Amino acid sequence: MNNGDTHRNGDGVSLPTVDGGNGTPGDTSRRDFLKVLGVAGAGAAAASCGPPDMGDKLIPYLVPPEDIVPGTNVSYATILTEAGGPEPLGIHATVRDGRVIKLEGNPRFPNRGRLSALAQSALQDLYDPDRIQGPRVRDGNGFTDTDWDAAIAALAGAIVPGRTVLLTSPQTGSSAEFYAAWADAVGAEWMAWEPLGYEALSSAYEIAFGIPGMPQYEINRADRIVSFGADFLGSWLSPVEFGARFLESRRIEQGRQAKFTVVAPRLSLTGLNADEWMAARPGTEAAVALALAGEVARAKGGEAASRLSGPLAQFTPEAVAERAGIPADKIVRLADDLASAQNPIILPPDVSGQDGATTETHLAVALLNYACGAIGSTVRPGEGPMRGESVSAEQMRGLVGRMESGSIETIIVAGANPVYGVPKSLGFAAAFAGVDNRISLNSHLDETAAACDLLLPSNHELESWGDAEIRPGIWAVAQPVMRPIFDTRQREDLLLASAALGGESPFEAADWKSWLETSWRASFEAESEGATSFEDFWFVMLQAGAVRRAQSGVDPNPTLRAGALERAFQLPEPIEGFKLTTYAPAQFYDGRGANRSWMQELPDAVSKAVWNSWVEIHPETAGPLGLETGDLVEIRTSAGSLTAPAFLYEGIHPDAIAIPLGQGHTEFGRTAKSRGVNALDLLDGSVDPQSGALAFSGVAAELTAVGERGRLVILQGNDTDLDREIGEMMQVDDALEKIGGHQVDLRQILETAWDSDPKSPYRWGMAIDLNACTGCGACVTACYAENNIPTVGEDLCNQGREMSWMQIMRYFEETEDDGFQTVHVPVLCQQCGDAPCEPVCPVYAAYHTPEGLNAQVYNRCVGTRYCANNCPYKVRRFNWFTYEQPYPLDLQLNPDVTVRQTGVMEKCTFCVQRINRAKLDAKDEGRHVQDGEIQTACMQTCPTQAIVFGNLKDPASAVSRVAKGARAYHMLGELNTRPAITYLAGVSHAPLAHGGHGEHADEGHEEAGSATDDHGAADDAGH
Amino acid sequence: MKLILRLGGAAAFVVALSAVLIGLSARSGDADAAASVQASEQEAAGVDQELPPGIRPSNPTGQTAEEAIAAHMVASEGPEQPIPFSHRFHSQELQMQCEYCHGGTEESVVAVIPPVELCMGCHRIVGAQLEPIQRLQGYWERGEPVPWVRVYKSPDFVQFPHRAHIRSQVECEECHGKVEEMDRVYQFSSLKMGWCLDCHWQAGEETDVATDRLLLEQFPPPPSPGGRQPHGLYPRDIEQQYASNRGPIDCTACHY
Repeated sequence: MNNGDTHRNGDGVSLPTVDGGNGTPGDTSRRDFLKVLGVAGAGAAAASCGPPDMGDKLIPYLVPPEDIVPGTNVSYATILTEAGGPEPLGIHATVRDGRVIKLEGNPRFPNRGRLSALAQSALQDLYDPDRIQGPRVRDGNGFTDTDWDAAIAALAGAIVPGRTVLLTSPQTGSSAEFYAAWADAVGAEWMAWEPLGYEALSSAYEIAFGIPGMPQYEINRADRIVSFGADFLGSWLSPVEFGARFLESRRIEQGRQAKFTVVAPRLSLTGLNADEWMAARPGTEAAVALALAGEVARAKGGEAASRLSGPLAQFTPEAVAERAGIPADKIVRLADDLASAQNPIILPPDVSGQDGATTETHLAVALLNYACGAIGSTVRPGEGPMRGESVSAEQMRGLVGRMESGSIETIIVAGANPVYGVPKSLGFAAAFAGVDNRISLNSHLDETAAACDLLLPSNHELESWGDAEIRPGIWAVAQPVMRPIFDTRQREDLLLASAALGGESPFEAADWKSWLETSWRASFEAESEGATSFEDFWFVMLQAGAVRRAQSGVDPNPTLRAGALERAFQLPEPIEGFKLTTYAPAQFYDGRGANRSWMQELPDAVSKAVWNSWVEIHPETAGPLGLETGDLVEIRTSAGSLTAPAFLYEGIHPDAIAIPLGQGHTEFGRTAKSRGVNALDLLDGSVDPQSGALAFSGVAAELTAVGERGRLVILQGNDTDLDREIGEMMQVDDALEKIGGHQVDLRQILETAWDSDPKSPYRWGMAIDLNACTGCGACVTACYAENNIPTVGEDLCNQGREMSWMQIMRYFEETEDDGFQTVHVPVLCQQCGDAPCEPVCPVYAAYHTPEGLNAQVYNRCVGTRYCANNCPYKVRRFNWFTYEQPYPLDLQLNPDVTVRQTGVMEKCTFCVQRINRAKLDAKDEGRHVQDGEIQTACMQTCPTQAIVFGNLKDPASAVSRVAKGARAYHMLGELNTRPAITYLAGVSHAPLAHGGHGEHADEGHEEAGSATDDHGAADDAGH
Repeated sequence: MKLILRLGGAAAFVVALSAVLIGLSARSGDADAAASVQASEQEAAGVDQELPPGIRPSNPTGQTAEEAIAAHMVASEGPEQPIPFSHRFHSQELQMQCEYCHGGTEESVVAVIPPVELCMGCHRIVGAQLEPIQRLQGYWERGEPVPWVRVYKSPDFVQFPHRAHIRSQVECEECHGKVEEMDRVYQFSSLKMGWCLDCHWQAGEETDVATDRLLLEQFPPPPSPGGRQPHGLYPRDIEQQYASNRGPIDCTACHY
C-alpha cells in the first residue's frame, strides 16, 4: 500500500521521510512508535534527546506513576501565559502516557473552555524540534554543549551588581514578586518588555479616570458596538474571551443582534465581522471619536454635555468629515445610534492604529465611552486582564543608549525576544551585540538567544510551575503537565541557583516550586478562614486552576478627570502619500507563532494566504501601479525598504497599506527562518510621547511596483460564492421576522435508509451558525491537533495539496451602498446522506456507516481519487507523500487516530474516535450516548460556539433544535446530497444586494422536497 | 494496586501474593496448600463456577522454576525474551491471574506490560539465586526497563481497545490462547480481520447493523444465529455469552 514516497520541499520545512514501509531495522513508523510509547510512558522516553529506538519492543514503566493507567487520557489544569497569545488562558492539557497531545480550554476561566488557533498550536511550541536542547556556550559562529554546573557558574559569574539587566516578558503574580526580589538581591535591574504593549491604553485610562491598567470590555451586554480598529476577535487583549462575549451580543434567536460598526483604515479579522465600515483615513480615528463624543454628549445632555461641549467644540462632524474622508451625515447617524442605544460600547484601536499620538486616540475613545455612558457599564476601567508592568519602546530606547555607552555589562534575557521585536531603527540588535555578557534563558533559539554567548534553556511553560494574576484578584496556577523533553530547567530555578553560587543564598526557598508553595501558603494562611488545610486547598487549586482571592477594589463608577479635557486635541493634518500600517495577525501575534507549521499553514483570516508575508493594497491604489495580487511591490520608508507580494484588498483605505507582523525571522527555527518580511524594519522608531508606545502605523511610505510576480499562496479559489448557496447571509429584519414562524423540515434526512440505518439510534449531525463564526481559525487548528493532520509547506499548498480537513472560506457579498459584507463559512466533510463520493469508489473505501457518517477506510483506499473528484464540497484530501513530523513533533500525535500514509485519501469523520469513545462509555453504563457528551475538536474550541454537534435522530438534541431554525440551509442544497451539516445563514444589518438568504431558502427547500420524491422513485426503479 | 483491587478486592491481592510464595513450596510436594490456594482464589476472584472448565489456569504440574527456565530456552515457538520469563510457570504453577500483571485492561486500549517494580515486588526475595532473576535485578538496579519483545501487534490502521473486549466478558484466552501452557509466549491467533469478525458476527444488539457491501461479500454473516463458531479455543454458547455485548460490524468501529 505504501510506496515509501517522500517529499522534502525547499522551504526549509523538513517534511517527510520516516516510514515503516521499507522495513529497515529501527525504522519505526509513527503509529508504531506511539503504540510502543503507549506502554512505555514517560520514564523511558524522557531521558534521551533523540528519538528512542524501540523497534518491536514493549517497554514497561520502571516504577508506574500513581493513578495512571497506560493507554488512557488524563487531563491537567494549567495556564498558558506566553505561548497562547495576548492573554493568559486557562487550559486542560490532555496527557496520554506522559505526553501532552491536546489542549482544551478550562471552562472556569474567562476563555470559557475555548482556545484560539494560536493557543491550540502551543503544542508545536512545546514539541518544537528547534528548541535549545541543553546548555550551550558560544563557539565561533555556533554553540557547543556544556554542562549545567558550568553554565550556572558562568551565569553567576556574569552578574555584576549595578551593571546587569534582566529582561523578561511581563509578569504577574508570584513571578513578578520573584523577579523583583531576585534582581534586588543580586543587584540587577529587572525590565519586563513586550513587543505589542498596551501602554497607551493604560496611559489613557490613567489620564481620564485615574485608573491605569486594562479596562474590562463587556461586549456581551452591548446593543451597539463600535470599534476603532481593535482586532478584538483575533489578536487584541483577550480575543478568546471577547469571542464568547461578542457571540452573546448577537444571539438573534433571542432577539439580539447588536449592530457593529468599524471606524478604521483597515478591516481586520474582527472588522470583517462588522455590519458597517467607515473607512477613516489613517490617523483620523481620534478626530472621529471626538466628533462622535461631542454629538452624543449634545444629544444625551447632562453632565457629559456640559463637560465635553467646550473642549470638543472644534470637532464638528463637518470639520472631521473632510479630514477623515467619512461623510458628515454618516458620523451624525452613528452618533444618533450611540446616543439612542441602551448599552453601547466603543473599542479602541490596536497596533494597526497605533501612531505617534496613540494615547490621544485612546483618550478620545475613552471620552466617547464616557459620553455614551458606557464607563462603569459596558466598559469597566481597571477590571480587565492583568498584563503586568512593562517598559515602553521609549524606555527600550533608553536601554539601547545605556548599552551603547557601556554602562551595562551583562544582559540576561528570559522569555523575551527583543532582537527581533524591537524595530531596527531603535538600534537594539547592534547595541546588544556590544554588551560583554549576553546570556539567554529562552527556551527557543530565537534571534536574541542566537545573539547570546551562553544559553541556559528553560522549560516550556507546559513543563513549568508558575502562577499568574489573570484578572484583578483572580489568581491562576500553572503546573507542569509533563516532564521536560529536553535537558532544560525551570527558569526561576536557574536564577535561584545563580544567586546561591556566590555563597549563601539570599533566599529561603531552595527552588522555585517551594518558593511558589511558600508564597501561596502565606497567602492562604492570611486569607483563608481556616476551614481546610493548605495541602487540601493546594490540591483542589491545582485541579481547578484558578481562585478568586480578593475583589478588584476598583471604583466601579469612576468620574472623568479634568486633566483629560485639558489636553490639546487637534484636528489631524491632511495626509499626503501612503501611510504604512502594521498589524498583529491572529496566527502569529507578535511573531511567537511563526515557527509553528500549523500557524504558517493556517490561512490568514483576511487574505487567506499562507507561509508568507504580503502587502495589503486597495485596488484603487494598485490600479495605477499596474499591481495585481501576487505582484512584488517595494515599500520604502525613512527607516528602510522591503519587498513582498501585494494582496489587493477592498477592506483597506486607499491611502493606507498594511503588512502583517510576525514573519521575517532570521533565526527561531526551520519553519520561521527566512520566511516573509519583518514589517518592523519599516518603522521609523517614533513613539507616542505620552505613553512611550511605539508607532506601529502612520509611517509615511512609498510604493513601487517591482515588475515581477512574487509567490503568494492563497488557499481560496474565489472571493464570492457566485450566489451558489454556499455562504448565505440574511438581512436582520428578514431574520427576525422569520424566526419562530418557520421550521425547516429535516425528516427527509432521517427517514432515508441511505442516510442512517433505521435500526441505529444515531444519525450524527452538525449545525454551524455563520452569524457566530468569526473566521478566527481555532477550529482548523484544533482539527490539526486532534486528527494528526500534516502540514505540507508552501510548495505543496501552491499545488493545492494542503491537507486541512476543515477550511474557513471567506466570501464577500456586495451591499446596496457599494460596500461589502463578509461571511465566513467553515467547510468540512458534510457527511452527506446521499454522498457522491461513495458510489464512485471502486474498493468501497468511501463507506456509509449505519450512523450516517461517510467513513473513509484508510486501509482499503488504493488512491484512485475518484471520490475527491466527485465531491462537490472539495473536502477530501489526498496524501501525495508521507509527511514527516521531525522528532519530537511526532510525540504530539493522537494515538487514537491512524496516521495516514502515501496514496491514501483522508477527510473529516466528525472525530469518529471521540464518537467511539463516548459509545464505549455509554455501553459500559448500558445507555445511549447523551446529547452534549460528544464534542468534536472543532466544536470544543470554537470561541463563539458556532458549531453544534449531536444526534439528529434525537428531536430534543441541541443540534436538532438548532438545525430547524429559520436561517437553516444546506450547502449546495440543489445537489440533493442531504448533508448532515446544516448551516445557519449569517445575519447582517447592511443592505445586502441580493436580498439575502430569505426567499432563496424557501425555494431551495421546495426543490429539495421534490427532488426527494424523484429520488424515491429512482430507488424503487432500481430495486 | 488499584487495578487488582478492582478486579477481585483486597483479598485477591493477598491471595495472589501468597499463591506465589506457597506455589513455590508446592514443588516440594505440598499439594494441599496449593489446592487450598486455588480454592480460596476462586472464591476471592468471584469466579463463576458455571463457566466452561477450560477458561482458567490448569492445575499445577509440579514444574520447578529451573525447569521452566530451561523450557523457555529450548521452546520452538515465540521470540526469545531478554529474560526467560515463563508464563506457564507463573500462571499454571503459581496460579497467578493475568490481570495481576497485565492490569488496566478494563479502562485502557492497551493491556499494561507490568512495570519492573511489580516484578521486583516478589523477586527481591523469591528466586534471587536464579541467574535470570539476577538479570532482572540488574535491570532494576540500573534503572532500566526490561526491553520485552513484542509478540502481538495489530496493524497501524486498526484501533483495538482491550477495554471494550474485557468489559464484554471476552476471556484473555480466547485471543491469547492457553498462555499458562506456553513456555515461551507466541502469537496464538492470526489477528486477521476474518478472525475478528468470527466473534463480531455473533448475534448481538438489534442496532448493530452492517451496511458495508465489501464486508458482507468477503466475510459473510453466519447463515443462522449461532451458526458460525469462533476459531477460539473454547467453542461455547455464544448467544448466551454475548447476548448484549457483541462487537459492532461497522468499519469505523476499528478503522479510523
